[in-house]
Amino acid sequence: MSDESVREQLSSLMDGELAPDSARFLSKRLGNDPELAATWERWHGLRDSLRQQGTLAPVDFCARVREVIDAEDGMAERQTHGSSRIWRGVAGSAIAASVAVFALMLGSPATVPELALPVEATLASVAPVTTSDLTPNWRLSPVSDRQSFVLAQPQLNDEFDNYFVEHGLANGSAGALGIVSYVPVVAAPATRADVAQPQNAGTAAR
Amino acid sequence: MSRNRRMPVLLLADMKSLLRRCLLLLGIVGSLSTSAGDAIGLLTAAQQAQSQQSFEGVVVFMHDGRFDAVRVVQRPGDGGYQQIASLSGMPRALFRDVRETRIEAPGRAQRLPSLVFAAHAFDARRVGDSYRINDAAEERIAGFNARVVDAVARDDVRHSQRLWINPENGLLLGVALIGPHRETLQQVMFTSLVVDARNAGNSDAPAAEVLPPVDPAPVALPAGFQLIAKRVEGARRSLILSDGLAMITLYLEPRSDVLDRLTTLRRGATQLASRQIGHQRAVVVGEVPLTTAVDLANRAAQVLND
Repeated sequence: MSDESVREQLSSLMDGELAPDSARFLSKRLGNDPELAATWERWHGLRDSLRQQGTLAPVDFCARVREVIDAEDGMAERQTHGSSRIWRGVAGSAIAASVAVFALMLGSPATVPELALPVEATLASVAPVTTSDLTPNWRLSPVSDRQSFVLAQPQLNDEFDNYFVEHGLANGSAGALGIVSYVPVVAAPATRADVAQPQNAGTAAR
Repeated sequence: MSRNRRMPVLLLADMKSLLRRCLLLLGIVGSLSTSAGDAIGLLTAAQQAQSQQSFEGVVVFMHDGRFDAVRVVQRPGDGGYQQIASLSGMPRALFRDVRETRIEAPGRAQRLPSLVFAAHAFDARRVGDSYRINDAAEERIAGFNARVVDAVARDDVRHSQRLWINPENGLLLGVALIGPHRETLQQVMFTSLVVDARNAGNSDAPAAEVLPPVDPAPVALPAGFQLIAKRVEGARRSLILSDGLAMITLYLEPRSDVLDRLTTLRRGATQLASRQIGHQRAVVVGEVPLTTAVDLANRAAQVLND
């Protein structure tokens, strides 16, 4: 099986779209292939960062998975010593389940402890709020009309979204700025679409 | 007689004064060239450090009248990777290793091959043709010393840039794109940064290598820009253009629909101009002024139809 197809399967496993049999074999491989396990760990870290859990997978996550699998293997070895192949299947399922439990433990949303608020909170004094308090003391640079675009709702355009992504990736790979060039790819898009007729093209170009 | 004796004294004084002025002028010119030389050296160091330094931190991205916080992690070397995740606004994250780039958003994952370019956009030999490079000042960014390098555009085809570079390790701590009226169009700046000096390496092992083009660009390029790489996927061509610092991607592709349309979009300082004529479409994306993008898209679409 090629590396690419393994990664494809890994991606499907993350999305919960892999057939149970394939998932079991892949789980087994995860326990024996440190590089694949590291990829699994990083992809989970990436997904966790989307869920705002605030923490990434523990650094020894893969080692812990391997320990569980080794323990399960040892247990299965003892139990299946001289017994039927049925037990091997059960042990395989247990391995897959163990990995899945680990994944679920990492994927479950973090619980927020209840805030210990005082029963009776009192304020000694509250200063009146003035208009100047609400005015940000910022000094922003002037923005030209052409580039002016302030606090408008993000306007997405599916047809062209990928061009921005592809350019951002190319810029990150070949550009002078390295990883910083990827930042616009993940930041919230805010776009302005002007669909102009050809006669307006000259105006836009001037 | 006395006048004749005074003449050489006056001449000597004039010559001394002239010599002092010449030395002063030479000193100024020398310091300016040294400043430009130092700045080019810093830019070169920054280009190299981007793929060799191991670090993680949080950057603030100022664009479109808003701020976004983004967490970045870079681990170079064997098994190296880059991870970028938005901490504000819409959740989105990017993971890149030598094989592929994975972009995650809620309910959507996108996998793309990781591109590795044989040539890079930054070219120390050419950057001076399009920009005046100055090592302007020293500031402190995210707790690190930073030299401020100004790349001032020599024409209105491109934007000016201000870069903050750590002189010790070459890390780029911030970059701002500056418009024609000295306004900030877009800015990325580290607010926290942890550099791991132990884990330095080179993560540029080839995955989907993009080779430098052997043929010239099929369309007249904006002044100062050169074709540095080309990628062909079926009938679709992606041309990577650079002026030594800024980058433009030009996509040339046939379309099944027939249109006569110009579309422009913008994200931060990144402009997109798409021009379709008949079955052919040219899309220009780059951190350049709108006019540069539209002019190139128009020319390219015209050439595709000729």
